[in-house]
Amino acid sequence: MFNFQHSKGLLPRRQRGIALFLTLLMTGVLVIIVTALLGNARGGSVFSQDFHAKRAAYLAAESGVSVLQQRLSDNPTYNSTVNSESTPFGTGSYSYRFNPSNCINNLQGSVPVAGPYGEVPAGSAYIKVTGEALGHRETIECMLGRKDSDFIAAAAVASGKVFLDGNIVVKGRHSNGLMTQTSADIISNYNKDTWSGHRPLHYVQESGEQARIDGVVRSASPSTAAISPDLAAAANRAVTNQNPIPLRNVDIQSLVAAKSSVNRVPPATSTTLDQVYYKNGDYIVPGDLTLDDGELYLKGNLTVVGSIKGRGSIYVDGDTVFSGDSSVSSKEDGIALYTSGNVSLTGFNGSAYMEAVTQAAGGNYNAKWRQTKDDFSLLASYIGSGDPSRFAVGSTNPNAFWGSDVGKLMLYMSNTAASHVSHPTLGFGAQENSLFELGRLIDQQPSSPSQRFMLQKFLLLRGSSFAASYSGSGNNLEGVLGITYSSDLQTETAKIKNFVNNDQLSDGLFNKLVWIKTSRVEGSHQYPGVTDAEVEKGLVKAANWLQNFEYDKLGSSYFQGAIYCRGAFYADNEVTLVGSVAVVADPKTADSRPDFHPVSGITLRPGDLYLGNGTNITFVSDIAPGAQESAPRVGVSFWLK
Amino acid sequence: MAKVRYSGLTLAEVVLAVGLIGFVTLGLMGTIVGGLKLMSRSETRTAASNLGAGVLESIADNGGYHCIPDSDLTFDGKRPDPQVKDFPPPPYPGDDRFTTIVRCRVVTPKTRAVQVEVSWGQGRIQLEKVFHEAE
Repeated sequence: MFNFQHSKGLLPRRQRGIALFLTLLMTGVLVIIVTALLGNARGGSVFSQDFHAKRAAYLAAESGVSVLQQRLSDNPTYNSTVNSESTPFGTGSYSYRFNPSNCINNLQGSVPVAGPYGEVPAGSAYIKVTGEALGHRETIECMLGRKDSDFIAAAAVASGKVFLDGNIVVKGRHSNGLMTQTSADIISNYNKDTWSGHRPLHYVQESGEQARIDGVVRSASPSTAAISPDLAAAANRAVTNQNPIPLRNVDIQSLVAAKSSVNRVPPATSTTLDQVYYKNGDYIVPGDLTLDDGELYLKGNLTVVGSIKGRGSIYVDGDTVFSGDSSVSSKEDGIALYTSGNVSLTGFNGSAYMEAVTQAAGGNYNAKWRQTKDDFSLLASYIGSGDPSRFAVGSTNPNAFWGSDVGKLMLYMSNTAASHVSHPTLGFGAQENSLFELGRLIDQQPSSPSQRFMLQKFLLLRGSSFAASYSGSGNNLEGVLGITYSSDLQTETAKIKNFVNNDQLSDGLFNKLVWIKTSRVEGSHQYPGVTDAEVEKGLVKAANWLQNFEYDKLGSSYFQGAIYCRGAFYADNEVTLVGSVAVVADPKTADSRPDFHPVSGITLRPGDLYLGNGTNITFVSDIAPGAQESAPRVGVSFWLK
Repeated sequence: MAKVRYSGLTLAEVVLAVGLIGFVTLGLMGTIVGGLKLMSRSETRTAASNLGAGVLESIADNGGYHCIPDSDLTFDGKRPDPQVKDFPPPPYPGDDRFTTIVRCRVVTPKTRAVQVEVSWGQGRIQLEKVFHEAE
């Protein structure tokens, strides 16, 4: 403490100025601290400004890359130098130079060229873009390449609605050779917030059925209810109110018309197409079609009921139906099918196959086939009706059951009956012995999956031994509709009980059921071991079996490649599609096109996509829908710096 | 009476020291305050830049070109203008400190540009990026 009372005296010399000295010392320290603080603040400020400026410059460089992508897409030979070009809003600028040490355009080259980091592959461009903003510069280097392969990175994309029904599996991988998984999206560009009937992304799920979507289901509709909840649950993610995905508009009509001068018409029979073919008119391929790097241009409708194999491209200015055990592999450009109209992919369609085979055979085969189909429906309705009059013959002799309406039908289908009895609805002029004649015709067709499949079905109906009886009378009735049965009462009783209780089919089964029914209608109680209830139940089951025993909706189809259609797309019956599908309605003609009814009860508009029960899509991102545009699109293959 | 030896500081010495300290302190006070303000502004600018970049990154994550409206529009986060089909994505319209203005422009049929302006009390920053269809 200072002693002011006695401070008038002089201080010792060694103590004079100590306060000043300490003050100066403290002041100096304070100045140093404050100077450091200020330097730090200024450094932070400079860093902050640099940080933002570098970011702005980097974004300017990225903008330059985007602009360059566009210019190279429009003009694959583009190689102009830009010294400084402002970004659209003027926030920065970018520059690039085409010379061996900066940008190298080899998009249209067929061989690699030297670049700063080695070779620039053919079909690629090495890009070096410098961005500048707020006094800073940033440089980006990358490799650009054609990007047709993944512009529409979706398993299925439709400009209209998407319908899914039953068991559906949609998954994705990058390429056929690379099994790594990729997202397999389903996209609907239907962008209205209201709709009638089905939702824009609609899923019908029965008990026990399920869908699996290894990707995003995306709707352009603003409504949050645009996607069925079951479908949203089956997908990795479901989003609505999205911008429509821009889809390429491929002028298929022009593509086909451009090949009209090709004077090579595909043959009418099954064949191999290894060149460019053009046909003006509908083209029905009854058998197998093999594409050996061939191209088919068709101004008309294409119907293929056999199998399709190989590699090639098909351009159809019309509707397309694939209904066989089909297998389509695309060429390297990734295109399998362009169709200006509707596309229908169904599992094996025996009806279409038989229609083609019987028409090609001529004679009365087609009439036999059509009557057979009608007789099946008629027989099912007779058997299932339980109407005693259909079984009545006016005789207690059960062997007279051939005289009943049911018996007559079975006789016409399986034997030469026209000279004995009249057809229940067509009279004496009806086709007879149809199953035998048609079965023999199928057996004479070239062996193929379709042929073998159909033959097997006829054998089941008509009996396994008829193939050996071609040279005979053709009167051997076996199979489910046949008359081959044991004379042993217990054996036949067990046969009926097995069918009623266990759905087990056997030779002569339906025949025996009708035989017993007729006997009981006429008062002759045959086979007492089988109750009336079992007979009725057996007949109802037989009717159901006949109704379900259609010649279509069985088998499976396999399509590999990309499909692009401008009408509606329908896939059903265990169809497997490896690739992708794009359904892009032509806005100029969509409204005037008629509805598409691929099957009864299904109505599709252009741009709609339907995936029916058992459809399996494996999206392969390296296989692209649509045609290549006149100028190849380019995108960033990988970043270098 | 014995002579007492006094020790201590002279009044002049104390006055000079106190005056010097006062003078230096006052001089440094402005510098300190200025430095703190500078630090605060730096932090604010960095945060604003991150916010603007966040908007652009969200646009890229949501599909880039494909999620940008196909017409020239401005979304002012001060009002704030409502989103159109989830555009602009968060962090638009901003937070308690910042407001954003997002401008989008159709440059060519296959390129669209977005400018993000982030503003606060005394400043603003701008970032811009062009998006290409094939990105």
